Amino acid sequence: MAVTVSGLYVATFVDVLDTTQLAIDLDLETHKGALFSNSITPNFTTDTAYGVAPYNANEVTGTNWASGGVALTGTTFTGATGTGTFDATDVSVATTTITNARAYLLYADALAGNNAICLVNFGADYSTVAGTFAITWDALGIFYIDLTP
Amino acid sequence: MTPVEQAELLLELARAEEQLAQAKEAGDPEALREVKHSVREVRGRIRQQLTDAGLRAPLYEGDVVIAPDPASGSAGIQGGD
Repeated sequence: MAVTVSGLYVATFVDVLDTTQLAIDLDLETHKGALFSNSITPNFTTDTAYGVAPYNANEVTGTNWASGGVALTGTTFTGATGTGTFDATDVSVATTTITNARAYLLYADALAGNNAICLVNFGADYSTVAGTFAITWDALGIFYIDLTP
Repeated sequence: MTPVEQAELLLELARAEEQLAQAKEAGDPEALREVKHSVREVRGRIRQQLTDAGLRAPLYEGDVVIAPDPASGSAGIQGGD
C-alpha cells in the first residue's frame, strides 16, 4: 500500500482516443487536484476516476484544502519537437493546514465521471501548519508525452 | 539571478498568463496555440532558474514547497520512454 511512481491513467487516455471519445480538454481551467496519503496503491492501468477506488478513501483535506481539491489554472497543452506537454500555473494555496500529503490526483471535474488524468507522486509526505501549500511544477511541465520516441 | 532580473521575469510571466486568459476567453484556437507556447517557454525558464538558484525552499515555517522532479524517476511524469 503505497504511492511509488507518478503516471498517466491508461483507461482515461484509451477512452479519449477510441470510440468512446471521452472529452478530456487539457486547456480547461476546471480540472481539479486532490491530495492523497501514502495509504493508496494506484494502478495506472485499471484506475478510472476520482471518487472511485482507490480514490474514494485516504484523501488528504484540511484548512483551505477541501475534499475534491483545488482547481488547476493556467493550463496549457502544447506540441513541440515531437512531444505534447501539459503544464499549468504553479499551485499555491495560502493558510493551509494539511497533514501527510503524498500524491496529487488531477482529474476532470467538469466531466460527470470525474475521470483521472494523472497522479503526481511527491516522493515524501508533506504537511503544512497555517502555511502555504505550494507545488512548483518542473521546468519541463507537469507531464509530457514523447510521440516520436 | 538578481532580484531585478527575477522581477522582470515574473512580470513577463504575468503578462503571458494574462494573454493566455484572454485567448481562452476569445476562443480562437490559433491565437491560443501561440500564446500557450509563449507561456510554456517563460514558465520553463523561471522554473529552471529557480532550480538552478536553489530557490524552491519554503519561505516561512509551516509552508511547504513541493517540486516534483521527473529526473528522479519517483516524481513527475515522462511518457513515451
